[in-house]
Order: sequence, then C-alpha cells, then structure tokens
Amino acid sequence: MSDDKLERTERALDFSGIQAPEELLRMKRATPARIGIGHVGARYKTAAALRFGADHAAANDAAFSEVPEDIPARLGFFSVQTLCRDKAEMITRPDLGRYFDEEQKARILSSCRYAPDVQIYCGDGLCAPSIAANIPDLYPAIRDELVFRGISVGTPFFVRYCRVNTARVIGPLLNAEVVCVLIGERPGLLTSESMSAYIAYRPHPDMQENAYTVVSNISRFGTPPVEAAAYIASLIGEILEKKKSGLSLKQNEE
Amino acid sequence: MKDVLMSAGIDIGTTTTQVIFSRLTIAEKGGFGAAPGYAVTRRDVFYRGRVHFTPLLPDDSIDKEEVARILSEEFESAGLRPDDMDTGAVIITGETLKRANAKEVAESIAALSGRFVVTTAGPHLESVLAGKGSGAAELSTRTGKLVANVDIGGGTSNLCFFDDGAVLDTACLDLGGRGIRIENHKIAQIFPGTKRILEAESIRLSVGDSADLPSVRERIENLADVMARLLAEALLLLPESPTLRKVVTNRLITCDRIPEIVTLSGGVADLLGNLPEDPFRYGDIGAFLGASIARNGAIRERLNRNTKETLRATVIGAGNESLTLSGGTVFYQEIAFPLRDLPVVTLPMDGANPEAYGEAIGRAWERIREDGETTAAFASEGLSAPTYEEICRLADAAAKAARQKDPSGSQTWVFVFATDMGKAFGQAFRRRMPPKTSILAMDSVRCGDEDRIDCGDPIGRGDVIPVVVKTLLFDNGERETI
Amino acid sequence: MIRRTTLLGHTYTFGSVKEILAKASERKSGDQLAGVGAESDLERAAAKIVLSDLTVGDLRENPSVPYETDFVTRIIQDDLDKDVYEAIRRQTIAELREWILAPETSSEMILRVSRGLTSEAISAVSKLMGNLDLIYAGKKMRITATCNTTIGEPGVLASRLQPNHPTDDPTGIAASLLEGLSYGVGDAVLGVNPAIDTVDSTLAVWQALNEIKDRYEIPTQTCVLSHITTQMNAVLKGGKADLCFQSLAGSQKACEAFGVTPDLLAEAKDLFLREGSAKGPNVMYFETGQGSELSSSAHYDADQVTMECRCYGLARHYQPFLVNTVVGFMGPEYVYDAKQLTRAGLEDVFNGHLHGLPMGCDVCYTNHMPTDQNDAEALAVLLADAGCHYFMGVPQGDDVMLMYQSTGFHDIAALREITGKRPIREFEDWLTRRGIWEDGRLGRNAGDPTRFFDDGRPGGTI
Repeated sequence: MSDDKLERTERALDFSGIQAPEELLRMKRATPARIGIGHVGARYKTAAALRFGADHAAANDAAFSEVPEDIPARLGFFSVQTLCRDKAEMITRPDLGRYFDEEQKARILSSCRYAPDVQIYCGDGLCAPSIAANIPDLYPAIRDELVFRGISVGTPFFVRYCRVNTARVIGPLLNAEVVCVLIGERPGLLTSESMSAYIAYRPHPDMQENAYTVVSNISRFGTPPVEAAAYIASLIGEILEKKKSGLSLKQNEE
Repeated sequence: MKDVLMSAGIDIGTTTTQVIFSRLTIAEKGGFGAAPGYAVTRRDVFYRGRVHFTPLLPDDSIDKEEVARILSEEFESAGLRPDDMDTGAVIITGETLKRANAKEVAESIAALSGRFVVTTAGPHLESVLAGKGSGAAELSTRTGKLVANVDIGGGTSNLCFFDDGAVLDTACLDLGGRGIRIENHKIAQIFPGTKRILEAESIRLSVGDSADLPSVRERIENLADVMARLLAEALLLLPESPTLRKVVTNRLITCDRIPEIVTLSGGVADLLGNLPEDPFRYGDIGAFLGASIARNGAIRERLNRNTKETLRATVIGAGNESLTLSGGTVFYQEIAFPLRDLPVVTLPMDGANPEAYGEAIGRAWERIREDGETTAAFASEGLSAPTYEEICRLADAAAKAARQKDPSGSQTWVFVFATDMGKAFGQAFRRRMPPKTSILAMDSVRCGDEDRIDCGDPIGRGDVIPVVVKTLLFDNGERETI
Repeated sequence: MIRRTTLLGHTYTFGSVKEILAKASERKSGDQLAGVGAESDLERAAAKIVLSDLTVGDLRENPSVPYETDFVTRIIQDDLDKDVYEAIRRQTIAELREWILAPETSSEMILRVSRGLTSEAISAVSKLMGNLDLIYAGKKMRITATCNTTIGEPGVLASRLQPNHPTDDPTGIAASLLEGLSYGVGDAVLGVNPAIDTVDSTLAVWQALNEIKDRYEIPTQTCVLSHITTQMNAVLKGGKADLCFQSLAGSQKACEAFGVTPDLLAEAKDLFLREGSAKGPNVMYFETGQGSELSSSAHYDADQVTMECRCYGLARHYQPFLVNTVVGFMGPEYVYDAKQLTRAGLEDVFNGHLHGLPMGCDVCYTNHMPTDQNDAEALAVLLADAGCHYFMGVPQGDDVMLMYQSTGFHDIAALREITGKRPIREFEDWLTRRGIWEDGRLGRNAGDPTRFFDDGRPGGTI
C-alpha cells in the first residue's frame, strides 16, 4: 500500500477513549479500511464523516464527469464516440457502449493504420479522470517497448462512452491481431483515477469474456503507470507469440 | 506456477553442523487483474537432520570432505537429492567463520546444487536468522513486546532484539558453551574469547587442568556465572562491566530499550537447569553455562522458556527465513542465474536530476573495479510512481554511463529498487544498451552499502527473483555500524 | 386466464404470464436494458390489474423457464407442497395479497401457504404491493434458522461482519474484524470475500477467522465467500468453517455461469454437515441480487424480480442459515438510483421471507450509481422495520476490496438502538461481558478494538 493511500485513510483516526493507541495505529497500518475512526453514540465523528463524504464525492464525480474535449487532442489522440448519447445512457446501457455508428466506424477506419500487430486505444469507461492521470505515462511507455521489439502499433485514439467490449468491434474493424483497451475503472473510495488494460487476441463479437487478459488497478496509488506499461508490453509480446489471451493463456502455463 | 519451493538450510557452526529441509509455500498476492506479486505464506520444516559435530582437520581447518559426506548422508536419509532443492542457504557461523578455508568449503557445498545460495556473512545476519528461526520474532509480533533472543552456540552468542516483530538491534559475543573444551577429564583447549574473560575476571584455568578437581570445577562454575552475567549485561539487564567489551565479536546492543521477554536458543538453551550427572558429557562447559543462565536473576525474570526452536534455530532460520522475493514485475535478459555475492552499492536517485544518477553509476563502477569486483548491484530507493519522462531520462543517464564504461555491453548490469519501477527501468535501460547486454532490474528489495546479495533462478511465471540479502541493515532502515 | 384490460380507454393486451409479470414490475433499469419492462407507467398499471386477476395456479403453470430444460424450475416445482397448492390454486394474486396483509393471518399461516407458492407466484404478489405493504407484511413473518446460534428470533437484528482486505492479508482482516466486534457486529457471520479465490487463501482466511472466534469464544459463525468448489477442496485439505457460501442465480444457464449445479450444492451441504465446524442443521449461506441473470444473458425475457425470486426458490431447497440480496452491487445498469434501490431492497427481503428464508440485505451501491450513503441509510431503516434478518457491517461502509459502499459498523449499532432491536442472544451476552453492548446500546468499551489485546494479540495474526 502506498504511503499516500495510508495517509488518506489515517487522517480520520481517532484515539479518544482508546486504551492502546499504538496498537490501533498498528492495526490501521495493516489495512486501508476505515477503522479506528471513533464514534459519538452509534454515529460517526464529524471528521470521519466528512472524510468519507469527500472521498465519495471524488468517486462519484469521477464516474459521472466527462473527459474534457481537449485532453485526447493533447495526448495526440483523435476522438470517437460509441452509440451512447450521454453519460447517463452510457451508464445504464452497456450494450450501446460497445458499438459505433457507421460514421464513427468510417472515421476510425480512415484515420488508423490497418492491420497492425497491436491496436491500442483508450476509453473513459467509468472513470473520466483516469485518462489524464495515466495515459501520458502509460501509452508511450507501452508503445516504445513494443516498437523496440519490432511489433507494429496501430494509431491510438480515444473513445467517449467506452465499454471494454468495443474491442469486439475495433479488432475486426481494423484487422488488428491484438487489441489493448486502456479504460477507466469503476471508482472506489480510495481510487478515483484507476484504469485497467483489457487485452485480447483477435477479439470478435462472439468471444468469451474470459478471453481478455486484464491488468487492473493502474494508478499512482496502485501499480504505477510506467511499471504497468512495462508489464503490459511484455504481456502483449507473449500474447502475440502464443496467439491466445485471457484464461487460455494462463492455463497454458499451468 | 510452482507454489511450493523446496529449501535447504545448512549451518556449519563452531560445534555442530546441521541440515534441515523445508517447504516454502509461495502464494500470489492480489486478486483478478492485479500485476503479479508473490509472498511466502508458509514455512514448514519437514526434515530435521542429525546434529553432527563440525568436522575439523588437525590444522583446525574444516574437513571439507567430511562435511560433504555429512550432507550427502542427510540428503539420502531425507530421500532427496541436491537438485530437488529450489533454494537453500548454506551459512557458516560462529568460530567456524574464522577458519582459513571457510569460504572454500562454502563454495564447494554450493557446487552441489546450482540453486544454493551461500553466505559466509557475519554475526549480524546470524543473529537475525537465529532470532527468526527460534520463534522470537513471531513471539514479538504476537505479543507486540520487545523480545530479545540469545542464540548461544559453541563459540559465540548472537543477540537479536525484535520490536513488534521487526529487527531492532543485534549484537554478538565471543562467548559460548564450547569456550573450554574438555577431553579425558582435562581442559584440552580454551578459546581466545574465554581466555579474555578469564584474564579480566582473574579466574585461573589452564589447558591440562583436571576437570575432576573440585577447585577447577568451582572455577569453571565461576566462569559460567560470569558468562551468564555478561549475557545479562549485553541484554541491557545489568550494568555493563569492563569485561563485556573484551568479548564483543562485532558490536553491542546500542538501542536503549530493555527487552521485556528474553528467549534462548542454540545448544545451551537445552541445558537450562540443574547440572546433569556428567556435566562434561559434551566435552565442553555448555551444561555449566546453562545452569548459570538459569540461576541468573536478571535473565530469569524475563525468560520465556517456550522457545519454539533451540538447537536448530539458526539452521531453520537459514532454511526458512533467508529468502526474500522481489516484486512481481522485474526485467532481466542474458543473465546466468544464480548471481552470487554481488556487492551492493547504493546510489541516490532523484527524478529531477537524472544526470547525477548516471554520474554516480560511473563512479561506483570505478570503485568496484578498484575493489577487484566485476559486477555490483546498484541499489536505490527509487521513485514512487515516476513519470515516463523521468524513467527515460534516468535510463538515458544510466545507459550513457554504462556504455562509457562498457562500450560492448559485455558486463552484467544489476539494478535494485525499493519502489515498484524495476521492469519499467529495466526495459528502458535495455533499449539504450547494445543487444544481448546482461541486465537484471528488480524492485521491492531493500539493501544497503556493504551488503551482498544472491539472486536465484526466477520463479513464478519467471517474473519473481528469489533474493538473499546478506544484510547489515536493520528493519527500520538503519545500518549496522562496524 | 384473462390477459387483457382496458384502462382509461386504452386496451392493453399481454402475450404471456411472463410478460404480464415483467410489465407489472416497478421500473428498473435492468428490465429496460433487457427490453422487457413496461413502456409506460400506464402499461405498468394495466399489467398489475391483469396480474391481480391471475390465480396462483396460473403462475405455477407458467414458469418463466420451461421445466424440461431448467433445473431451477424443476426444483421449485418439485418442492411444492401439493396439498397446500391444491387448497390455494384458485386464489387470485389480489386475494393472496389481501390474505397476507390481513391482521388475522399469522406468520405460521403465511409460512405454511408459502410451501404451495412457486417463485413466480411470490414475485406476482410483491408486484401488487406498495413499499409500505412490503414492510407491513414482512414485519410479521418470523423465520428462524440455526447454525451455531439461531437467527431470526423476535426483536433481533443481526449483522454480518465483512472485514475484507484488498490482498486477503490476515493481519489486515483481523484488524477490521476486531474493530467490527468492538461495535457489536458479527452475530450472523464473520464472513470474508476473498480477493484471491484459491484453496490456500481460503484456508488462511478461515484460520484467521477461527483463531479470533476461538480465542475470544465468540458465539457466531465463520465463512469465506470463495467459490463453493474452492471451499469444498479446502475442507478436504483439513480446513474448517461453519458456513458454506455460494452465489445463486435464477436459471440453470445463469447458475452454470457461476459454476453451480444442484448436485454440487447438495454435495457441499453434505460435506459441511459432516466435516464443517458448525452444529447446524442450517449450514448454507447464499447471496443473490437482481440482474445477475441478465448479466449472463440467462434471463429468458423474464423480469429481474421474478428471476431473483427463482433464486430464493432454489435457495430454500437447501435450508440455508443465511440468504442475502446484494441489492445495489450489480450497478446502475440493473438498479439505477435510490428509488429503484429502495424498491429492490424491499422486494427482495419480502420475497425471500415469503419463501421462508432467513433474509438479510447488503444495502449497498456502487460509485457509478447516482446514490450516496444517505440513500443506503434510509433503506436500511426501512428494512430494519420490515423484519430484515441482518445487514452487512463494513468499516464505515466502505469495502476496500469489492470497491463499493454498504452499511457500516456504526450503522448496525444505530439501527438496533433506533428500532429497539438487539443482537442474537448468545452474542449479546458475549458483548455485554466485554462491555461492548449495555442497556440496548453501545457500551463503555465499544469502538475500542485494542481492548481485545488485554491478554496479548491473537495468535499469529495481529
């Protein structure tokens, strides 16, 4: 657990009436859970209640906010949008969040290198802030390592209102051998900027959910983006080599 | 992946040589989608060998052939072969460390299996391993108390203070149950440490004295009482006498905290209590020392007699506790594992000043060459969640220095970080070096200057390096001063 | 059977019982996603009217998934008490609703009739009930089950202590566990959702839980919520726990997505009765939640309340000690906002009770729902009065492994104090001895887990 995370949850520690404060601190250091926060009757102390409220606000904002228009451009990515018309629809209609209309598909097809070894793109998913927080370090680090290995990398882009299963459309559309979606994770109270990588070998509309190889908890509070990138690049190399991903890749080893 | 590692612990001590075999259970940390990471979750000793006397040749060097024979006997009796082992630590401890051929013997044992790591490191590590092997560390964790373990061997006594399970301090004294050797009812040998005690305390005992004489026996008891007192002094339970300084092997305890619980391990720990019928049965004064410790009030009032391991504490520590695992994302290429005995050089790392890191590598490289070493582990705390730009600039600086010193990329470059950045840095460094350069970059390992590290064959899916840090570092990050 | 009605000049015709059930359901995002919900509120009202005239027999004869192809349907149908069913099959759902609500109808009478009701019939009656109906009827149903202790006695509100940890670290689990105990939480079960679903991890967490339970002689149950086969293998490796857990779904296909078959459940129950550490006879613990069938495309165009009811129909076959609906965990795709969450929680608990199950509720929400802790707290108060058997106790309601919010340790204590309810008796006695619970509220030692260290830390774990 990173110090930042510890510090954030230790802020509401309350030692009043605690017989052995040093033991409480020791317990707290063993878990990011909100323990040792004291009580007034059967209710929370004000500090703990406010801390929780702030963390929940950050998580809720992360889930419901939009990626600002200029962020993808600044990353050098062009933007497309799924069939979802707005955030609320994206949240309630996972089915719409995996498809594109013809215009968007044409745009992807005309803007991107066709049939790359690997197509990498990013999507807001359930956490808009994860894009600006992680992509600047995550994407170039993956790309540089793949290019060094002689693996061709497709043109990156950003998908608004994106679900993981866009991969089932993007893979066949661009005829990519491997697709890697970098997507915002559903925020928790301690992680309002985490993202995951979903990687699939030749994804297609009828693929199994377990055919994705997943790297989750990418953020400065979890696996740092640069280290995750190095790991993802190795995984992509392995997936290309073995021509499979997800559960069957893992089972292969055992 | 393999989730159980077979580990051997081999301890060649002053008096005894012991072998244990254990199973270390390795489990993946983190849930679905988590980057790989592993931890040792169980340590089960499943074979405890006989206790052998350490074989010595007439010139007092270790009888290499006899040691080899003992080992093959133990392997056979356990139904194992050296190649069955995934890891193992051979440690040479106590007085034996001072034998002329100690290193040579260690290396010949290591040759039995490519996976053994060998350590001839000194008293600090021995104290730590004995303290962990005895169960004192666990007792400290469980109780939250300051627990001091004293491992009393033949030639030395190793102290280790555990605060809440963490190593707080260590010390070592030239004081042990075999401080005087008795043969045919006569004093056959007095070890140098014991001689210094005798002189300082004006106790007259000499080689050739008959141990059957009541006066000699009385003086031996007197000596044992002094030894027990010195242990109590070293434990900070009694005020320090001038004699204590005369038996310090490396250092005394410097923390100013008094242990709440004392545990004893080593052979003498089994001899607490009244003197047996034949106190010289083991040919030494261990039984007298045990009786004196049991009588010593200062020790007695804090003594926890339920030590989990006594005689085998050190060897179990070696087999069970010497291994640490690197973080689950590492980078290596062209490395012939195991890497043994790499000297550690710590380098400062600052994301804002990457050039300084490169320069430090250059200087460190010069220095290790001057010391006659070919490879070193460059260790840094590392950056927490570095940017990609920082990684690139650090790798630029490191590669610039490395290419200057090693233009053809024929050397081995090892980087160790405490923070989670090993694979990122390793890949970035590799891209800037000639192809086929030997590189290992790993993280989640802490070590300090003057430590040495061994790196075993990668485990897991090839993404974790088993590491033994022959450390001078305490758990709180402070260093032993010598 | 009449499948049509005219409402305000508009005639609504429905194709099947399944469609009537779906369209009579209160609005849920999951039913909209599945395309089975009513298209307007008026259509919903019409469907309710049509549904009210259907009989218990109509519902039985029209299961949502065919008998021949679905083991859940078979279990529900085969478990039916034929005599009871025969006596009530001509009753309409409207009559059934009024009979349940009638003051002369006792808990015993309801539970007897329940044995003649299929899950579809139970789903139907809940669709004719308003929120207060669900609370009013739920309050009088009394269902007990016994493992080491007995849950469901009058005046008792129990709690599951859920000390999850992101990496299953036994020390971290123990820290949250002791904190929870110090607030009087944990009488239903000490239950951990593991981050790592392996036999070794299950064994390690069982050990951590059992150590504390044994050391402090806590009268309760232990459970690790790994997959049922993982737990069975852990038992075969010599591990012990009191309760055997599994998530259930309402169709064979959805169960199979969870890796569950009736044989497996029966085998697990048998194994835990034989080799587990509990006294029993109730040793199973099931979790459910509206929407899980749709998420594995195994809902057969039935609405999610009905599919949820079918989980209960399956669950009751195994006489569980605990069942709970993880009502807001599936996310806004299935249960969108506070209004839907409140409705789903009340429906599930009532429907579970009407199946004769000791029903708890994980009153929870994810961060991509437009809800917050206020909504969860309000629902918990309603459910406490609706006879809900137990709630989850999570440190300040924030689960750091599952990344969602539930009810907190403090909430359990507050709900007990507000409603005048108490912990399970033996557990209450234990709390009282430790000064954690006194005079119907938190006692002098409450909230201080370090009091457990008076005679040292529990072995090896903390």
